Amino acid sequence: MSFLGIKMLWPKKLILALLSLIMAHTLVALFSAVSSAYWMVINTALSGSDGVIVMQAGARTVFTSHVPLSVYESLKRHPDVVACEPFTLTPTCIGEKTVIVRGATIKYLNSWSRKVVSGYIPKRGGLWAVVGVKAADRLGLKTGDHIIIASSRTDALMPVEIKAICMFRDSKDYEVLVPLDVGQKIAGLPDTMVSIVEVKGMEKSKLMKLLTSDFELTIGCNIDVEGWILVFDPLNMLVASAVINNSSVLKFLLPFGYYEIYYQGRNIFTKLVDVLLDSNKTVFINLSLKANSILQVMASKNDVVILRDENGTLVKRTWQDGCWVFAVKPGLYILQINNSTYQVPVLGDTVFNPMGFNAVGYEVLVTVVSSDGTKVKDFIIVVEDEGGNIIFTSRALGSQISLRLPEGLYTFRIYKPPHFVFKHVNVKGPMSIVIKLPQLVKNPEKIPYRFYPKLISLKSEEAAEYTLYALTGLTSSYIVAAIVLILTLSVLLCLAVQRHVYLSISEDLRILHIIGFTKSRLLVSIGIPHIMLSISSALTGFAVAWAIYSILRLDVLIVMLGYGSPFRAVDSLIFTLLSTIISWLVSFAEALKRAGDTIEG
Amino acid sequence: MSLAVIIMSIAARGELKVKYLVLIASIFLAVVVGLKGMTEAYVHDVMAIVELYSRPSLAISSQRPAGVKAVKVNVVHITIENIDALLISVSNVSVYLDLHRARLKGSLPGFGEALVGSKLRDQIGLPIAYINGLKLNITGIISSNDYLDYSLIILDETAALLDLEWKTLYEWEVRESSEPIPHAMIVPAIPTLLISVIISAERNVRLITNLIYAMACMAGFFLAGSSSVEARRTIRVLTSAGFTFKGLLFSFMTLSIVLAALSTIIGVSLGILAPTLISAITSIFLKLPYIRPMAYESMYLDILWYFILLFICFFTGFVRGLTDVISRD
Repeated sequence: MSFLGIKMLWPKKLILALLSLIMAHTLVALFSAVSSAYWMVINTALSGSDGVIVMQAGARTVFTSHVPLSVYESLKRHPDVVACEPFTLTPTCIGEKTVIVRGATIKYLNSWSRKVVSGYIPKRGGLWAVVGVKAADRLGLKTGDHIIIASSRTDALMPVEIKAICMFRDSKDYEVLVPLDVGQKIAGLPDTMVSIVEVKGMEKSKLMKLLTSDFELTIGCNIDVEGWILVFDPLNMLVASAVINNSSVLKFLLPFGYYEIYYQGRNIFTKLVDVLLDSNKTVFINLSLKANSILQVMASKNDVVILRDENGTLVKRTWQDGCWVFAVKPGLYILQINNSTYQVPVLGDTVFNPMGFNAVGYEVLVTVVSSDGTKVKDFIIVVEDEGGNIIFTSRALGSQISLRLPEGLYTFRIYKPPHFVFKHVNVKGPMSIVIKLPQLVKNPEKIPYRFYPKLISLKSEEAAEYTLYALTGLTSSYIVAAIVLILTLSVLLCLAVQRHVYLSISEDLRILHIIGFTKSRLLVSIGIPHIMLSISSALTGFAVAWAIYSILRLDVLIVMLGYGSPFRAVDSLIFTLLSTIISWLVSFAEALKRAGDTIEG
Repeated sequence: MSLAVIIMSIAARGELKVKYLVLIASIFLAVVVGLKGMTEAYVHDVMAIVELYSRPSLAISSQRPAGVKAVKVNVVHITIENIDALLISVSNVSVYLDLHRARLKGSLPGFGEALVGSKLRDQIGLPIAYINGLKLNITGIISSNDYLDYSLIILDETAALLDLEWKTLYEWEVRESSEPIPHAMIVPAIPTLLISVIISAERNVRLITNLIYAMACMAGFFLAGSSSVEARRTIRVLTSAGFTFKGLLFSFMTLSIVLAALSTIIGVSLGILAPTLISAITSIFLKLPYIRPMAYESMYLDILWYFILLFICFFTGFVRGLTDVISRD
């Protein structure tokens, strides 16, 4: 009895119904897959990233956004930020096909080494590129190929060698990735700008508040000599300055950022403190160049401890609290402990506690460069532990020095007169660090003009909407509306087919109704077999649509700015089944009503 | 009164249900016309922007361009201290640097000498570079906004000492009056990029349009079939009244033509009016630029094609329903 619905159609009508339903469902599945793919592609192409991004508020697209690199340098130091990456994003042409070129840091690019399908990702910068598998397929590229990327915004030509093809398993599969500096040239951006900064770990609203607020930086100065207090951003750009000739309190109103505060005097240019300005903050700085400082040397009473100044004059020592104490003027001193000699720069109270780490720890390669990138030779390096005690000093005659340090937090101070700068380093493994000496400021009263773009934080899907809204005058809501309209039409198509099937058996239904088939019995006998038939035809249609999508390679044909989308199986299947059930339900209800009406009529 | 007129008056009175048939078919065409019209309007605007955009300034090709004074550049990808860079040889370094608007700090290279790009120099930092064992003295540093920053530039005479697989390229300045040269890559590449984007957008629209046509055909066929099945009583009366099957076929053909024409006219009107209205409203309330949908060039082809498809689908649908009704009798 339950197969009555099938028997009624058997055989001619069943074949026709099945064919019609499969055709209709194939179209519905294909259309829903294409719609879903478009939606994905639009989101990917116009947002440029995942998670929360920082982009320029006035920019119309992520591709025309300018974000200072200092924002990235500041954000990565924020304790809430888990990960932070700067990117340049530039639509460009390779051959005659559009593709997005993403500039990223070498570290970021190397983090994908495990996803390499062929070739390798170089460890150093240069003219090379990594291509996503889909982009390689679409553009016909392989490792070792040489291509020329033409900038769409400037007259920059960048010939690059394809070093690797990667399967990222996300939208980057459709991109070409290059080192950040190469990306900046292609995007026509200066070295200090990127397109967007991707942030993970911080809420959008919090980030927005951080980026749109100005904070007060109060510096309590206790300095006994005349000079300048200079505030630098992480890119060593001067952002604020004030003259100081005695103890005083300075106030600066600055946007969120990581700042380094320097003192520039007649013969000294020293970094005093660094601060992450994410709220109103007060810092205190002490610098005494006239008064004596205390140098404590941690050694036993039996050790031979001798301290001489730069002229070789012996400095008087005293034994206090288990260490040797020297009262000295700021300057460079030569300290001898038994057979070892150290050069110790003193600028304030200092504790010297030398430790030998030659056999333990990780290798740390320190390179010192000047502000223009040239390597600096002959400097003194001082390493302090977390407690501020000097544990190591050495003079490097070249521009590099290799140290071995156990895991931990250290402060590396570089003494290269007049510079005396420091950098905090977290040693977790073998590493290479570069310490850049800032340029002496000739006119500290003149703050160079800086481009401070107004920034906003957006979620990736919002970024797509924002871009569409600004770019084409259409919001993504309109596109959703258009997709919904067409998908509704595709449901109507299913309905037309289902309705036709029930109309073709309307006479039979009327007779069944006359002989006493109730609505529930008709549902069991006719409706259930028919819905099963519809679902099986929907599944077949879905499979056919998938095959068509794959055979026609619509994933590389449906592209926007080079981004495509694979067959969205789940979305398509859900929509196809939903349209099947809705159209069957409406048609069957109408058929039952018609059968009843006919009898009553 | 002819049978065709009778059938049409039956349809007009609602005995033959064609209201939804016309409506759905119209909406399908409206979507096609709206989509294509808006796309064409955007393309038109984009091309206007391209026209206004600053002229390209530099072109490169692997083939020597005819009628243009081009600089011959020999290029090879090299690795210096694990950095991927370019080794470039030219006969006249000064002309080449001028073409790229590069700044030189130092002096032009002679035989056995080279210029180094600022980015490359940052990383290698040597006054001397060795290429395949050949010692090159660095005489200057170049700053530029392109690949020169990552290059070593030598004279052709120096390059002759190196056994490398050189690739020859030609570079030249593009002037406003210059004729386009095939195979040349021009920077800034914004026109090429926009044309490429437009081509892919048009391909996408074509794909969607084809899917809509297929759906419209299926919907038209089944809705027409259902209409004639639903009008079985009327058809029975007409056959009882002595109208022949052939006569009925002819009259349904006439009806199909009228319905297809009606659907096409309503669809085209809707496809132009609706986007115009939406664009006008958004321009007023959202302060966005008004984009006027265009009666695009191939619209008449779409109309004709859609009309023919609808006519065929309506007619075959009606005929299928008709034969179904008659065969049951």
